[in-house]
Amino acid sequence: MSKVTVRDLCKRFPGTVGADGVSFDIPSGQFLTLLGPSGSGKTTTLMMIAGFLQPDSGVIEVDDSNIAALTPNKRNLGVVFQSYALFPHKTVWENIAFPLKIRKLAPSEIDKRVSRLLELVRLEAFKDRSVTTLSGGQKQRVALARALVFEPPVLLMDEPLGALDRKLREQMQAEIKNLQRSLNVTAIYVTHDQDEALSMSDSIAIMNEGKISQMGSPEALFERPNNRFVAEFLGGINLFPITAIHSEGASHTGKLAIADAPVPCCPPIAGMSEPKWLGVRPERVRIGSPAGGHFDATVMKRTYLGGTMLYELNVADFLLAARVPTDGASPLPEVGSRVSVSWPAQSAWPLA
Amino acid sequence: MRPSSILFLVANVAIYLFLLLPVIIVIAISFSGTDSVAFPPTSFSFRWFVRFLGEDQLVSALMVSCGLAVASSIISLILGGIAAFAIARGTFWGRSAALNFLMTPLMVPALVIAMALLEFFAFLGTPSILGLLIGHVIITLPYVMRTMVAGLTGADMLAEQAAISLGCTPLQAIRLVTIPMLTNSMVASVLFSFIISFENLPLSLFLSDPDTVTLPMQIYNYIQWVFDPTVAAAATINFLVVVVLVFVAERTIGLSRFMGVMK
Ligand SMILES: Nc1ncnc2c1ncn2[C@@H]1O[C@H](COP(=O)(O)OP(=O)(O)O)[C@@H](O)[C@H]1O
Ligand SMILES: [Mg+2]
Repeated sequence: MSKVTVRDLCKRFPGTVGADGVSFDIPSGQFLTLLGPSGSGKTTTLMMIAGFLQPDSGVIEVDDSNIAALTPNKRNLGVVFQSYALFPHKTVWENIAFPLKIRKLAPSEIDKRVSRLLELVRLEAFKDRSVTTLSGGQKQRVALARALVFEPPVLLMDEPLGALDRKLREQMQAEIKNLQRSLNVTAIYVTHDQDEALSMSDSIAIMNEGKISQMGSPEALFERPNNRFVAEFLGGINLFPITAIHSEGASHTGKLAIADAPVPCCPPIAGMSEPKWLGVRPERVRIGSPAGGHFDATVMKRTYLGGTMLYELNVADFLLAARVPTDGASPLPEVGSRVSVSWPAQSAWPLA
Repeated sequence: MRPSSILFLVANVAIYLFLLLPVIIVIAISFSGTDSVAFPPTSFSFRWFVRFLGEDQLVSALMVSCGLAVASSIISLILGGIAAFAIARGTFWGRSAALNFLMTPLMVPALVIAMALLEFFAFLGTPSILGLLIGHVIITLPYVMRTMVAGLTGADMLAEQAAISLGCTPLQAIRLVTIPMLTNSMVASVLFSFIISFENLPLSLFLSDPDTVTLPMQIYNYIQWVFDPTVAAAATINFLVVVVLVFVAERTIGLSRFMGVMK
């Protein structure tokens, strides 16, 4: 287990930027996820850390020593690929023992370590099977065991669950997380799946066009995104165009383009450019009887989603979404009725 | 069974019969007990195979064909394997042009290649056996290229990168992971090359001298003078060699993959 520091990693490709000044610190034993849409530079960043891509500039440190000049086989990092990349001509046991054989460990030591990993990924019964006969989930567990058996200080994973179906993914997420915790390995995980990132990570770095757009704990990112991209990428959001923000002491209000009265909001982040929107998550929008909130709207549509009712509301031809719990505590107005809309001040974020 | 599936079955049987009937007739004649070529044979014997073994020219032609097929498939595998590696993994300019160039023998009729080589080797004074060998390498190379390039660009070749991340040097990764993973492709390459070389007639027509007559060529010569079941026995042996190879291919790498490469 080691801390990882990445400073100003850059990688240009002909015509595009792969990574554009990526920096982050991961404390020892923590789980960082690089989350972003396809093409945002996640794989480029990870492969530079693994050593398969040469960065144009930047520093990659593991425990304060710069590894950027080392060849990938000398970096001693565990890497898990989306397509498993197992050795099809070897058995489960031989696949996992491979890195130890390369390191010329004593056979008794190899046996001991492979057995421990086989037990951790619950594949003892499969150790003599050819890996080509395994299911997708089992293959990925072999790949994990193989990447961890030589006790690397850092584990890199590039969309390791991308090829699995939904149910299996959720099960494997928990399994990877347990493995990472019990072996206390620092992890960098790449995914484009926000639920995966939210449920597994100690911190998430959201990537967009080769840059880290925002980094923080899952709660911090979800509860206070500091730009429009992060707000939209992580969960649904209503973006109200605003014309101005007024501050009076600790209270802040925004002037919406669609309503007359100013609405309460949280303070703009220091140093951010002129906010153009107020972002409010549908879960935070409250519906009440007319004239009781920030402004009134008409119910256009409602969709029953089990635990919540999803409302589509119209105010001055602007459509906003609200999710109301179906717990009986909140009123559930019918389509066509007039309602008032409000939110707590801390749930309305000025966004640029 | 529904009428449509009966029709399908009948059509299938008819097509296979049409394709296989000539071979079946030749094989039947080779086991005939009578002196003349007649179908269906009235008695059974191995005498034409015994006679085949007594015909020095046919036996030596079989040897020449086997030798050529073994040598050309090994040379093709080595040359084609190296070229395929460069084309599949390299980043140099003109990779696909190089691949297309090496595939051209598939598009040019073998007779044209043979004639061109004849002119060229006559000019250089190349010995017949060497000329034949070069010709057979040329016509088998496309099969090796196609099989090896496909094998090398297969998705699971990420395994090589994985091996490096697990501590291998690039050369170790090629030796311990890439080459073992390419076993199937290499077996397919060699079997294909062998069959293509073994049954090739046009190159021999132009490049053989009396000491380097191949089996297809000798069969061709033989039936111009005599037509007895000995030549059917020779054809049966030729056929058996190919069938055995296809059977080996089926057992080691699966016939479907093998056929996929062939078309
Ligand atoms: N080898 C390469 N050559 C050229 N462009 C590349 C290469 N690899 C990645 N890119 C480009 O760099 C950008 C980032 O790619 P990547 O890191 O793979 O994104 P992600 O993993 O987030 O989907 C993309 O625009 C992609 O097209
Ligand atoms: Mg990627």
